[in-house]
Amino acid sequence: MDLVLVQIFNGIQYGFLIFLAASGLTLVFGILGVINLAHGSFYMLGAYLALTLTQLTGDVFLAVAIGIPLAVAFGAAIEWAFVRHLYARDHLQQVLLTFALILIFNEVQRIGWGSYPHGVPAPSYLSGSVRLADGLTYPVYRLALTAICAALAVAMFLVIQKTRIGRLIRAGESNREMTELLGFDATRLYRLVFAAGTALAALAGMLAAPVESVYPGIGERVLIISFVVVVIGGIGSIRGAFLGAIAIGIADALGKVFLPNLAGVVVYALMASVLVVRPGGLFGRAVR
Amino acid sequence: MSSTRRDFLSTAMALGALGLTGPFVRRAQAAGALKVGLLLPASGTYAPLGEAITRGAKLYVSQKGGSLAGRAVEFVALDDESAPPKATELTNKLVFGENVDVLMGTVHSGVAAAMVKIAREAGVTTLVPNAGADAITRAMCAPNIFRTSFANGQIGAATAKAMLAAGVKEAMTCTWRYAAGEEMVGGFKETFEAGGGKVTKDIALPFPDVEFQSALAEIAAAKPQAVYSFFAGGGAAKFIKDYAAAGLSGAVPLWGPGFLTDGVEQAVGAAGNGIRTVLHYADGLDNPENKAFSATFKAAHGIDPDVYAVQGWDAMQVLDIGLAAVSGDTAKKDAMHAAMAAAKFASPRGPFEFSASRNPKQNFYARELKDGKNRMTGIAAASFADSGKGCRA
Amino acid sequence: MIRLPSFPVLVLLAALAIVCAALPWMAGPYLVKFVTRVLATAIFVMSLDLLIGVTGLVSFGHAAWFGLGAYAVWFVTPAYEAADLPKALGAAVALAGLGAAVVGAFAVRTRGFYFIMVTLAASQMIFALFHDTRIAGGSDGASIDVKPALEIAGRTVLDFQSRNTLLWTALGLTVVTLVGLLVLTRSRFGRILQGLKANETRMNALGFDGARYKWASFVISGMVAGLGGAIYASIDGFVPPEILGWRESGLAIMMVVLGGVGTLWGSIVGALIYALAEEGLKSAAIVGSAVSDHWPIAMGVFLIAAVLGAPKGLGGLMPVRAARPWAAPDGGTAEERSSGGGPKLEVSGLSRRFGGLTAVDGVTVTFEPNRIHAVIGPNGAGKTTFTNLITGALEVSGGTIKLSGADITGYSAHAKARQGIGRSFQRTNVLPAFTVAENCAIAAQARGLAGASRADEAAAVARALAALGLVDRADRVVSTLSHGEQRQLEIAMLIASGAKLLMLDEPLAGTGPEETQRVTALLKELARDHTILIIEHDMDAIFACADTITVLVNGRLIAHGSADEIRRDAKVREAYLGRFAGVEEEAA
Repeated sequence: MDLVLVQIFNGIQYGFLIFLAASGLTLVFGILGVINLAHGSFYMLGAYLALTLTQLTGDVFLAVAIGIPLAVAFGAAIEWAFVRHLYARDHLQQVLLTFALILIFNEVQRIGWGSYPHGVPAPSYLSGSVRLADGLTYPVYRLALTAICAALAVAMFLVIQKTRIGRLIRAGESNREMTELLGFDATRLYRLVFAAGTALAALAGMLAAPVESVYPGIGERVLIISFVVVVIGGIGSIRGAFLGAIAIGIADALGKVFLPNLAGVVVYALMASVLVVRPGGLFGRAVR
Repeated sequence: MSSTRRDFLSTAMALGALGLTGPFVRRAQAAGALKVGLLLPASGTYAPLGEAITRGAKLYVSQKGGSLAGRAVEFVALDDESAPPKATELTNKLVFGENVDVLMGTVHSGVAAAMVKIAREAGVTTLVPNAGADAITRAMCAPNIFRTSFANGQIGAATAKAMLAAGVKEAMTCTWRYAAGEEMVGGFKETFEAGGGKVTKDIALPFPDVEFQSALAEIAAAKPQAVYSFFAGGGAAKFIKDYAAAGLSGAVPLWGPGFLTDGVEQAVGAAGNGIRTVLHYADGLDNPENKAFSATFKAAHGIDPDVYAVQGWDAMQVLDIGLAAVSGDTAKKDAMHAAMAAAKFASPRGPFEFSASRNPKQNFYARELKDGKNRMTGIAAASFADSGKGCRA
Repeated sequence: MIRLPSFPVLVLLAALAIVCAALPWMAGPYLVKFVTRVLATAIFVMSLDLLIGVTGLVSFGHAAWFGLGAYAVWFVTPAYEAADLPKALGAAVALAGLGAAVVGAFAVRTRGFYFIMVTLAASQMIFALFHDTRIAGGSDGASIDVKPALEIAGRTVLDFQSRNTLLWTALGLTVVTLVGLLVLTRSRFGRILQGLKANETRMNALGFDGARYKWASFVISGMVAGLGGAIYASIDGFVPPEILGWRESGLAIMMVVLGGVGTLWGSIVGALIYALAEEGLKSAAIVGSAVSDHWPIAMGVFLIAAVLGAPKGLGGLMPVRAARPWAAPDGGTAEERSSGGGPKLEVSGLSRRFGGLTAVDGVTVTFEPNRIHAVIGPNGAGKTTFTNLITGALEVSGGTIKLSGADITGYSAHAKARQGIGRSFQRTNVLPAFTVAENCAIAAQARGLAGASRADEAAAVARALAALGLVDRADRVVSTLSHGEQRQLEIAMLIASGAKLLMLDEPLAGTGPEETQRVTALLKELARDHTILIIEHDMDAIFACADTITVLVNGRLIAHGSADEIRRDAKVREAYLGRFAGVEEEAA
């Protein structure tokens, strides 16, 4: 029973992390209408950024503080240089062009940091474990991570629901053409949304670095899981992304305990079940 | 219009084909040079191992003045990334594209299995300086394939012996779910259970996952008498650190084949203290060859050698013996291979000779990691050979 | 309509085939294996083009079938012995086909992004199965000790251990696959697939069950991919789980695009171009070590340039074969034997709710056969929703629909179409990639439940074109037609399809007086043996040709009767205050 409990904790923590990454993806796809396969690369670059910045500053939270603005700037630059040419193109071309981006980003990472797995230390004031039950300890950093992600989720919810920018985002998600016709500057909105999406993915990568190793390939794993979350939750829905991410986190963790050989399959089985009942995802539009 | 297009396209294709056949055209080799193809990981979790093997091999050759039996040695290296899918393509490139005289590789057992398949068909002289896949010197053995490291089952068995001798009666196992992990655990289990021990649970992660949290939680919940674990390279370093972070270091003794601790002593620091391993090499082994080898290696690279460097060094030594027997004439393959199979010499690891299936018959030492060094605490198994079951050559 | 390869393309393909066949005498084992790998990939990529280029389904998990085919060979190979070659190939095709059948049943119910995701997820599941468990060697891959061979009467006739034999067999299979897929694509079955890619709504409205055809295409392409996998497995006798992965699927899509989506032969060239590019970029001798050490960057740049610069791939650069011109069948366009005239349509208590909004509220009306019935009402009255309910585009919330006495309330769109209901849309829905004649031919193909014979089809097309005066434009591709001509085509398609109840949504929108005359004359002509419902706003035209007028306001029926009755109806005047003033004066 203890094991199951610990696994559920792990699952929730993993789910929160995935939510951060997936929320960026659902925003970009929901509002910009762009399938961005390179989204996972942003997560990976975030992790490597955390590696380097933590080595320089000594504290991963300091690294995050410096890293976020960098990620936002980077996202805006990528949108300006590349992504905005994708808005007019069909899904097939978007898939191919962003796929090519993955190849480039992966190699950039190898040039910059090599292929050894690296560890990023958790800050000293959050290292060590807390005793949950007899013989069962749980790392403090993971608890802190969950708390931070939860706070971010609440913040995101407030921004989307209560602010004017949030309203614009909700409008754009619901009907992009109309929003443009109403006179809002689509260019700036799109750049902002894409930069935010990039930053969310990078942030997830940075926060996750102390609990996972940093090595090539972490981006792809997150990309696919993020897509699954978006499909389960419905394109463009932050609420859906949240529920989907938590569901996946727990399903994955329990899968590792009860079906260790087939743990990888559990997540997709979950997605399949959701699609049977609601082809548009939990909160998505009925048909795309 | 269309005929011009046709002409253009056919010309372009012809030029393109000409240009791109560059890498495929057999290159005239420098007269007399012996081409050794290295198929080793230069990236990924096993990169440190690939580097150490390369250093050991090159050191031997440079100690001999750059030639073996009068032939200058030229190395051609390809990065196999410890990725079995790339294995066939890269092996093809070395064997058929570069036409190497000797093929040396690799680290990952899965990569080696694919490599050996092609090597057998092609008949090229092949040295395996690490990959422990049992099949290489059992069912897939061949007169042209020599291993200077160990067989997975062999070292698993030796470790079981050491654990039984230390009074361990019950253990859990933890490893990566691929050929090497399975065989290491399989060999261990066979000997451990035959000696009265009991394995309570096997935990396996997909290769090369390093998310150990669930595995450690399981171990913490079950609290076995000991844990037998196989990881290597970057993954081993993380496992040891995570094991300590989970508070298990003091509570549940960690055992394993020496790959768990070789090459990662600096990376894990104090977290590694007390880990007991069994390997066919130990730091500071007291024999003249090792003293000389360690000194030379340290002078060249600034750090102490590890088991991987020894395996690379010994591979070249075996090749040297073979070449000497045919005075450098690699065309006399059968004679060369026969000489290599009969090789018997003093290696930094102790006495070295081949079993009938061309796998080393050697001593296995029990060691304990303390303050960054794997110190020998005894001999786990002396002159221990692998069964070679199923080898028909 | 997808064309056969033009002459320059055939020359190119023939040249490649000859070089390929002569390869063992021209080059060493490395190149032979390299080309064999390209051929296996070409078969795989061609199967994907069937899915993407012909049927319009972008699958991101196609490599799963390629991989299953490869693993199937391992499954049937006994230890240290050769598997029987037909058995190996058969197992590969069967296993891949089975996987595709299961996943496809699920996937074809989704569209667009969701389809991409479902196929991606399915392939990831299969990858996880093969990579994380040890059913076939796990992450190490599966090793085939001895490659398949074909023995006849005790003699080994084909042995894949010989790399030359494998090369020539692969070459043969590639040619067979290309020819087979071209024949399939240009068959009447393949025509439906192309129609689905062009406009699925129109195809459903014509009576084709889109999901079933898409599933068939998915399974066929899966089976062909499995064949490619079997060849691949026989090259080195080694199957790594990564060939099931999404990277391979992504690269395959890339190769389809490089060669030209929908050309089929382009896939072969695309596979070759990609393989050469990768080999070249990895070779320091060709591009210098600065590039070759970091070849993925160069490859990424190359791919981006290719997609942006030549979105149609090589196929877009090569000349295209001209289509065969349409010709009226011999024997002229004899009048069709009358099949009884239009049906009676009875609607009772029909309702449709969208959450809190009731768009159609308890409408009860009977439309008599062989008449022109107009449905009018202010914007938002529910007219289009009403039409969608009858044609099956929307599900009914309440009430019944009877066609000639038979209850068809719950039927799907294509089932209703099969009952003889044809519709035109507010925004014309024709098949863009086809010519006028081809559009009518596809419509005619849907006739009846068994589909029309070729002779019937040709006759129906000729009749439809003549009725709408489109004979001289029979070979024009739809994208070159004016809007009005496209609308004419839509009606022609309905005639060709043999529909007896015609539901026309604003057929006169934006037409000038001359065309309006022509269309109303045509409608009167058609009413002799069809029942026609039109939604319209052009009051003059309606009063000129409609036999009955039904008025809907806010989803409710407020009046139904002849033109005179409606003109005098107080409720109608109230709803359209002032609108009828001019007409009343004229009539008075």
